[in-house]
Amino acid sequence: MRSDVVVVGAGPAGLAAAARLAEAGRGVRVIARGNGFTHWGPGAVDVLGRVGGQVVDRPLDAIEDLAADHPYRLSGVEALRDGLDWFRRVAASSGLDHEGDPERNRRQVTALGTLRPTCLLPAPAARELAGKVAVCNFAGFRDFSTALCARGLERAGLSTRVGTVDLPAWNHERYFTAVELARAIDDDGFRAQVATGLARVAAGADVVVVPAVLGLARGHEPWADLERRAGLPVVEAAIAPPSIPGLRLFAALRARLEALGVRWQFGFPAIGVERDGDRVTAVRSEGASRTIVTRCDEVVLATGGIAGHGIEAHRDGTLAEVVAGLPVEGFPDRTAFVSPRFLDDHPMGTSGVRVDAELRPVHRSGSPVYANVRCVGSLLAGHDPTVEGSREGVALATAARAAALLAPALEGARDR
Amino acid sequence: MLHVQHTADNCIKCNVCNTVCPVSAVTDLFPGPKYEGPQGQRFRAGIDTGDSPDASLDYCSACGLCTQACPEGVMIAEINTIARTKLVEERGGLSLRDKLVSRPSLMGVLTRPVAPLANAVMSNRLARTVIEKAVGVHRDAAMPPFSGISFRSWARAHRRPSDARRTVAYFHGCAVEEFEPEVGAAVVRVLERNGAAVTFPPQNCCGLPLISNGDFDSARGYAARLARRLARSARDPGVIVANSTSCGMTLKAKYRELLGMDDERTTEVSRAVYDVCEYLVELHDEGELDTRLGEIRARAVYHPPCQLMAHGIGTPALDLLALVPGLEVERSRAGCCGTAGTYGTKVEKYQIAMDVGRTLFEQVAEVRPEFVVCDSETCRWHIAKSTGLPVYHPVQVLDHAYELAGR
Repeated sequence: MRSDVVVVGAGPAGLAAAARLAEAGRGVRVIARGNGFTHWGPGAVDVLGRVGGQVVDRPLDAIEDLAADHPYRLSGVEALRDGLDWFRRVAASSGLDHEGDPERNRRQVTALGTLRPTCLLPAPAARELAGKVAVCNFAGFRDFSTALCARGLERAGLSTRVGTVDLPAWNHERYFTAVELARAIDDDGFRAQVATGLARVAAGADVVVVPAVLGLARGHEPWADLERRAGLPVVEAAIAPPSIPGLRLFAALRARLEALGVRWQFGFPAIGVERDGDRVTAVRSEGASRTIVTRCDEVVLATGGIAGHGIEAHRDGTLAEVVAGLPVEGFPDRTAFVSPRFLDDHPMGTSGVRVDAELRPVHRSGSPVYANVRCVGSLLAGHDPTVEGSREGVALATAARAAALLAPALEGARDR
Repeated sequence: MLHVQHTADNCIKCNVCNTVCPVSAVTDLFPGPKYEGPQGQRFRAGIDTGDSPDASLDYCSACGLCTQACPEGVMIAEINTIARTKLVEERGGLSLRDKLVSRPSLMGVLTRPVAPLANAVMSNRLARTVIEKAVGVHRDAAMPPFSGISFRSWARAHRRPSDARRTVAYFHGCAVEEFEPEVGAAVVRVLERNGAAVTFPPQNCCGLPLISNGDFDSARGYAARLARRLARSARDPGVIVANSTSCGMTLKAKYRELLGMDDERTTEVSRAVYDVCEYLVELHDEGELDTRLGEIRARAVYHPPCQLMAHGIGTPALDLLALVPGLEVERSRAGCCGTAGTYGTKVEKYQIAMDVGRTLFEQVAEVRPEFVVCDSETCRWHIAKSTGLPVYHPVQVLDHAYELAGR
């Protein structure tokens, strides 16, 4: 197999990098072991939520104070702005409008009733929470508790009441998850009946909070329709995976990649590279019975950290980057990976590959390991995307930077 | 086999698999890959609950989309397929219907002398109703066209070119042999056009229908026989080309993963297997593909079969179809066309198969292509019946384009 550029990884960073490189005229092949954080996350764009344990109010201001090796400092604030603008345009073109800007953070309602800091919110999650808040679930949906959500919101000073909306007869009465319910809500008839029930249960409230299941394949249209029919603002609360808002984004990005002719090799991990001097000449990936070798001119690694399997954590405390064997800073032993309490911040979240300002992985000396490999997203060292709430922002900023660096197509580069 | 079942421990309950399952999307008779697969496997591990699978397992179509989507390496579809053998064992073996549909080569051989009559019977509504009541094959399910001639009889009469630069062995499989010899002829012509001499090693059914239906014992017999027959070709010429993405997947991976066959001979054979489009794209990467293709001014929808994705090679057919001037190709939005081999022919699963396929059928109705392209034979028959359009293997499109271009 042959490709101009190989992007490894299909999470937020990989998808953004692949799309932007293809838009810039490169031929792109995505190799990924499976789906990534789009499917797990709350479906918002986090830029910078917490620094030093404190909630951040103005991300762009807070970025100035980050360490020099933070991905935002390396790729530059312009790349972040560019990445966010690109995201909003692409999402909007698939019917997924987002609100917010990096000057000031917003809050996203979660199933726990917490208000997590984030930067860009999809419209269904962006309505203001004020006045009388009705927290409503759909009968039989097990991944949302109105009592739990309401309790959290009450702690935040909001006045709440709870309710349950009955569902019309459908083909998943015995058993369903968020995905089946979201698909059902895409159906006009089903949704109209749900809207009637929602209006009745939420009557008298100023805004209603529901789990994020309002449609899967029709952008934000089902949510907008429910608002109109119910006659009051509706807010989607982020729930545990599978993330319906994340799935909407994935579908939009996937459609973009398809339209750009990006090749998609999905379900099998990249396991190595071939090299000639300081250039990678091919990416090796698992095949059904043979290693598949894809020769390429450039590689972009968007394989995620330990959770994404871009980095393997070994029992002796060492860490290994799985595709190109890049240097990863380790720990004295594996007891240093984690803090004693589950919900504390864990040191291993900061592990990653060090890169230079051109996103090239570097040795301790600072010299690039390879001339034609770039790293993007949560694979990067110098930040913990979970703790500081920066995952999507870093993905978009570094993808923007990578595309800018690789954009002028080299003479003779194949367009595949 | 141990390895596959142990991957259940990788499951982190993220639900990604449930987002891609085409069956649980349309019916709650199947609770989805997470529950049926790694979750169910814990109860089937035989400690004190025994390993009796829930009846809902039977609704897994083994399309494999879950295994591909899983970021943690859980081999969900494979776990389910292995568990199905226990279900079959508890029910006292395969039903008559499942014994029949698992043996396409047998059905082909029996009907060959009376193919026109067999086809007439299969298109007769009354006859199909009787068959449905008697055997359980849905009256409206797509059936393969029975062929009066076998592919191998064509191959025996076929004159090999004398100027070949390379040799490949051809695993044509039951579908080409019994039902679609014209697809096989197109494969041979396209390979020969690209400087390959094609050999036809002795072969038999790869056994996938037996595997999918849960009769691993019979499947192992088929697999061992086939590996013996293909062993020499695996060494010389060292390339075995398959046009059916399902047979190709079976030869490449499923003997090892599902039947536990990891002996040297089987491994050598599986390493030598290439999907025909995979092989042609590799030739193209080396600059060896004949790109003198005539113009086919048409719109087509390409549906990558779910079991093609199990090869780990992406969609090479799209690269090949892109070489045909004038051809506009749109990729199917569906992960699975619904039939999943013999699954969609069964009376209790036919409607599920049709509901799964709706995404693709609606896209085809929207796009209004002249034809559909798909690498798997059971998909082709199912899509053709449901859309009324001709459905070709990608190699047939290339064959036609070469013909238009002339020598």
